[in-house]
Parts: sequence; C-alpha cells; structure tokens
Amino acid sequence: MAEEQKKVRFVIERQDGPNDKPYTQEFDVDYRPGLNVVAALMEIQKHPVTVDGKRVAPVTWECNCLEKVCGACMMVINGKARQACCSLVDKLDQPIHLAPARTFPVIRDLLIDRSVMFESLKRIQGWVEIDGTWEVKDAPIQNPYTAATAYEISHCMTCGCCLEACPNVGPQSDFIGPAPTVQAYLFNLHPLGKFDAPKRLNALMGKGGITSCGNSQNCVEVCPKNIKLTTYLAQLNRDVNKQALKNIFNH
Amino acid sequence: MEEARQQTVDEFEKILQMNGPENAHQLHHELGDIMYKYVSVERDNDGLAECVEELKKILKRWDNIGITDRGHWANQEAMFVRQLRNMIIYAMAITQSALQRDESRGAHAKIVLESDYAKLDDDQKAALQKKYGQFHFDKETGRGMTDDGNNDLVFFERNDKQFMRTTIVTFDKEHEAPVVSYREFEHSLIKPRLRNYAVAKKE
Ligand code: SF4
Ligand code: SF4
Ligand code: FES
Repeated sequence: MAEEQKKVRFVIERQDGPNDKPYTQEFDVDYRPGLNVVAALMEIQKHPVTVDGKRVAPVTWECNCLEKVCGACMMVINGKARQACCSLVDKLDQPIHLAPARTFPVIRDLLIDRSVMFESLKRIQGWVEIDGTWEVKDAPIQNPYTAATAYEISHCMTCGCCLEACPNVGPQSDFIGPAPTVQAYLFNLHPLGKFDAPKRLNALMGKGGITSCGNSQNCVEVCPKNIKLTTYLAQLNRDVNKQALKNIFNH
Repeated sequence: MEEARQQTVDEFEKILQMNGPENAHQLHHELGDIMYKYVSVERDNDGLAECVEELKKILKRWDNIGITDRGHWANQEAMFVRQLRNMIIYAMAITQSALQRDESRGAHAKIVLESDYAKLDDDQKAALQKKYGQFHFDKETGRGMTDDGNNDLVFFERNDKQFMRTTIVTFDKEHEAPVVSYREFEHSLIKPRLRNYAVAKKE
C-alpha cells in the first residue's frame, strides 16, 4: 500500500482589502522535500480549498526572483519577518503561520505596499549623480579599503524585514527605518556619490532621521542579506553629528 | 484609445465570469512541463511537431478555466488567467518558429532526424560527415548518432543562408494558430561569425 501523503498545515492571516478585518484560514499542502513557503503558496493557488473543504479565493502575495534578491516576498513567518521564497518548510515549526508585515499598509492578504521605503530612498538621495552635474570622465574606481563594505550594503533588496522588526518604525514615529538610512552610508562611500554626502547627512537629521534609532539591534538580527546594519548606523550617527557641527561653524 | 480601454475592461470582466473546471495555475504548470519536455536546449522536429499539437489542446482548455475570486480588488487570479492566455500564445509562437528553423543557433541545438537528413542538400550532408564522421540513426527515435561508440547526437549546423533573418510571428485569430514569416535585418557592416567563446574575436 502506498504510504500516506504527508501534509503541511498553513495557518494564514488574510484580509480582503486595506480596510477590511483580518481573518485566518487553514490550508494543507502536500509535503515534498525542499518545499519552501512560496512553493507552498503556489500549491494553494492550484487548489484553493481550506482544511474544512471550503473553496476560497487563492491567497494573494507577491514574489518575483524566487532566490532572495528582489525583496518582494517578505512576510511574517512564524512570527518573524523573512523572505518566503527562501524559507524552507523543513526548517520551520508546523503548523506554519503566515501573516502580512503590518508595519506596511496591507493591500490584500499577504500583499503589502512597501513604497514608503522608496520615498525614504528619495529623501536620503539613494543614487549617484551622473547627469552632468560634474564631469565624470572614466569611471573612478571604488576605494579598495571600503569596497567590501559597499558590496555588502549594496545587497540590500528593500525587502523591509528590518523595518518590520524595528520597534521604532511604526505609527508612533516618523523613523524612516534602518534600510534607507544605511543606504546613505553606501552612497557616501561611492567615489562620485560622496560629493553629495552633506545632503544625505542633513536628510538624516531631524524628524524621522537617525536619532530615532534606539539601537535595539533587531534589524541586524533579521536582515536576510546579513548586512551589519547597526555597525553602519553607528558610523552614520557619528558622520551626522560631525555634519551638524560643520553646519554650525559654516554659518 | 477609449475603445481600446473598453475592450480590455470587457475582456477582464469576461474572465471574472469564467466558470469551468480547469484551474489556471495547474494549466500553467502543465504548460511549463510541455515546453520543458519538447522545446528545451536540445530539440528535434518530431518533438516540436508534437508540442504544437499539445499547445493547441492547452489553449482550448484555457476556455474552460474557472476562477474562485470574482472581486475587483487586487485580483491576482484573474490577472493571471489573462496573462496565461498570452503565455500559451507565446509558447505556440516559439514552438512553431523553432519547428521551421532547421538549424542550430546560439544556445539552441536541433538534432538531425532520419526524416530531416533526406531533405538536406549535398553540401549540408558533407558538412555533417566532416564534423561527426560516420553516424547512424537510432531505430527508436530516429535521431542521428555518431558511430564512434559514444552515440553522440548529431545536430544541424547553423544555416545563415536560409535563417540569418528575424522571425516574425503573427497570430491568426480565426484558426488560433501562429503564422511565421521572416524579415531581413541590417548586417552589412559586421561579418557574421560563429559564436565561439573558446577563441578570442578578431574583429
Ligand atoms: S538598531 Fe535602530 S534601526 Fe535597528 S532595529 Fe533597533 S532601533 Fe531599529
Ligand atoms: S537592510 Fe536587509 S532587511 Fe533591511 S531592507 Fe535591506 S536587505 Fe532587507
Ligand atoms: S521572491 Fe525575490 S526575494 Fe523572495
């Protein structure tokens, strides 16, 4: 006799629209080796029936790359913010609880709107001017002493895990959060980007800026790209203070 | 413009009403399996012809999709149903043009079948002899294989004379089938050469 198919139970927090009340539904998915949370959600799409046999609308969520580089699939899995595409079922306690990352506005089910991070990147000028502001000529090389750091921070995929985990990001504060703040550090290291460093540091002063960080270290714990966020937050804090002093003496 | 908008809206509303037994995501999975089986890096004309037939069936089955989500807010299921039809049509375009292109180009390698070999001209046959030495055709699959004991597959050469052209595929809505034609492109300034990463390019 064939062995009975092993099932994995998912308890999913759903919500029909931004202003609707959340509710939970449970689904069973056939177990297979290597199964991850995105693959399981895809199985639910193929067979959107709850454990009580109710046919429902398939769960809504977002994913693109399926290899931890795009950031889209961030959700709260068993209480922790992480990427669904690289969360292996074998390494999770069952039943597996999925919920949207409520630091961000929920669009529907597990689908969230992370555009606030994009706005913050605009605030800190998360780019390098190459539009003729000054002459570029041949591209300058990265400083070899800081290239490894720049490489590390450039891995940020704006997933928002760190914002979800940070106790100081939320309705109670304007803090733009660790990811966009640390991006300022990256662009200040850049051989062309550094010319705009004062702009970025000034953008990190005041409301929602770096002083909102309480150094609770949650962000660095959850970053799927292992970016040493708190290390760079500390260095930026020093840079911001230096800039503040400069601002005083230049007046 | 308004007309085009309305057309798309109508199309979407029609999808929201679909009530058949097929699940779009399941159908998509099958589409992937079929393409992987027949239109992968190594392909042959028998497989491609079979694939054309399989895809026709998939396109028919698209009409029998049923959806569970009939809402208008962030309805990923309905969006997917709409995209899936286009994916099937693209798959048909890819397969039909691959079927008509009797050559290997870029990363795509077409295996020479016994039935293909009969249609080659003498130069083409000689080129294959030169490259592969003696070869035979497998009894079961009809695929060309070398006689040197390794049974290495025999592939079509690149055929610039006939196929260094852009493939244009249009979709014949009435017969629900792709129609292939070719267009010349500008290459008078650069001499075509084989894509070969084993040697440094000279020009
Ligand atoms: S260290 Fe700062 S940014 Fe990181 S989680 Fe704590 S408060 Fe948030
Ligand atoms: S810093 Fe890490 S956790 Fe935060 S958005 Fe970037 S990749 Fe995600
Ligand atoms: S799908 Fe891109 S990070 Fe998960």
